Amino acid sequence: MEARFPPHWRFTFPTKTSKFLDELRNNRLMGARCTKCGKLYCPPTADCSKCGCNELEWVNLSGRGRLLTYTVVRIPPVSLTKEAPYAVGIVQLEEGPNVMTRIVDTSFEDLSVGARVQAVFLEGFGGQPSYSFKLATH
Amino acid sequence: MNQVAVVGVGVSQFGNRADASLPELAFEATREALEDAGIWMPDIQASVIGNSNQFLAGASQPGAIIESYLGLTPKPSVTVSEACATGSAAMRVGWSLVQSGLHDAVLVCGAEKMLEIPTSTAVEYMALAGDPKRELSQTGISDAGIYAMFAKAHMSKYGTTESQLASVAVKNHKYAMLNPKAQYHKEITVEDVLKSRLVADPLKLLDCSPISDGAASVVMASEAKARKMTDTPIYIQGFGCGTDTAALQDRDDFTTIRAATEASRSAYGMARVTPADVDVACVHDCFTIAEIMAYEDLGFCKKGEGGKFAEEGQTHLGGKMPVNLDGGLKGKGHPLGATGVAMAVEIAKQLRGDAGARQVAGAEIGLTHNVARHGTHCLVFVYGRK
Repeated sequence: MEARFPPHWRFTFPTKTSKFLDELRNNRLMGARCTKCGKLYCPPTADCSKCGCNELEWVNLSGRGRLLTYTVVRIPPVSLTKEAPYAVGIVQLEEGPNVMTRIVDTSFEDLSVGARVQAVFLEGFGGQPSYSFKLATH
Repeated sequence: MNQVAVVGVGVSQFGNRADASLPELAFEATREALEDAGIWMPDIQASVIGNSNQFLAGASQPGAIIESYLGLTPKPSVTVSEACATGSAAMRVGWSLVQSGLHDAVLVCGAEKMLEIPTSTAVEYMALAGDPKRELSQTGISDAGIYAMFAKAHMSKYGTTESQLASVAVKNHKYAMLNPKAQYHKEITVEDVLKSRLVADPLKLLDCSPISDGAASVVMASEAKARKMTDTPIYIQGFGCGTDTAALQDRDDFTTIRAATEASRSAYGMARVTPADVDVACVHDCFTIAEIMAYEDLGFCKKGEGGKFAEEGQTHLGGKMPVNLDGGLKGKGHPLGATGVAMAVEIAKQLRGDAGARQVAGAEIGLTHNVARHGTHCLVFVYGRK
């Protein structure tokens, strides 16, 4: 993403969640599951907001999901002026969690609520490894 | 429990106010509110200032600037910031200061100056609401984009149409014509909305509230003091404050604002009223879909029927539930920090019978509904003449 945001606006993955970025570099989407209540987080968190536990374990995710809702941003925040228009949606992953994500490699007209999507691994803001989704081919 | 009353209300002209600075706007609204209450600055014991966005203000203590300009130093003051619900959050703090007995006359002033910077920069500063590290910097989502996703989900689940969305904007422009302080005095048609430029599909430019400068103020007093000050105190009968996740992605329903259903449940309970008792309401129409979700979340109509409720004209003057007769955010303008206070101003005028051509005859109970961003916070107030 070509955003000209200030550096401190970046989504950070400090020590406890840094594995997420490492695995994105390997084209693998990971989640973190609470060892106590079982709630699954993606992107991962260090602590469980549901039960207060701070022990989470890594889980491989399939990268498959379906589109719950979406839009095409045509008047963007100023730092993204050159990128608009672009599609953004909320994807429910097969394993449960929802993620807000760019929908790429897809013509806007082909998007629909309920469409099946799959993860693609592209550089995000500031060159950081990131995830986007596109319409599934399977 | 001792009641808290609104005893004076004032609002600045909303719109592009290149002629006035942030504190000057606050002064304009406050002067009107104090004159309305029949008191002057020395009678105010403490102030609560609402300003939503330090980036927009270009200052990290905008409240201090406003309070100084109003001549309220060295009295106690606190600044409240909760995105687009800032004004109502400030009202909630004001209520607490009076109800606790700490003060018996408090000024609540919400003010925002948004047009000193280019629109695209303002769009970016506003997009810092919610959880921007997880969502804005990952996707470039805008505020309009967030509500566009609500709209898409609502349309998909309930069959809500773009024309139904447009009918909200048409209504609010119609009533803004009757409000001299409104940003817009121009009637629009459903076709105008549908033909306007796409901002974030399916929302078009005329589905969106504008970027605005403006301020609004109220004077709150204890019940005992209010009775001495005015024959028409307007009482805060109940309120509620609900919250939901900072990141939109952490929710599982994109057709409702859970913070609003929580806030309204508390407000109705505290005031001991039901939605059917409400005679007039101001709701948060930052985007047309937001007003439709508000009808449903507040119980004005059944879930999923908000689009139809709008299209049938049920929320016009003379309809089942008149909503946003001051023009709403869409027609009146949406200076973020001022908005919630301006809603209280309108409801107080309606309940006093001072709303002129837009008066709901004999209104006894009024409601305000003010949402921060995508419902990270929502505050609902119920006001009455008793």
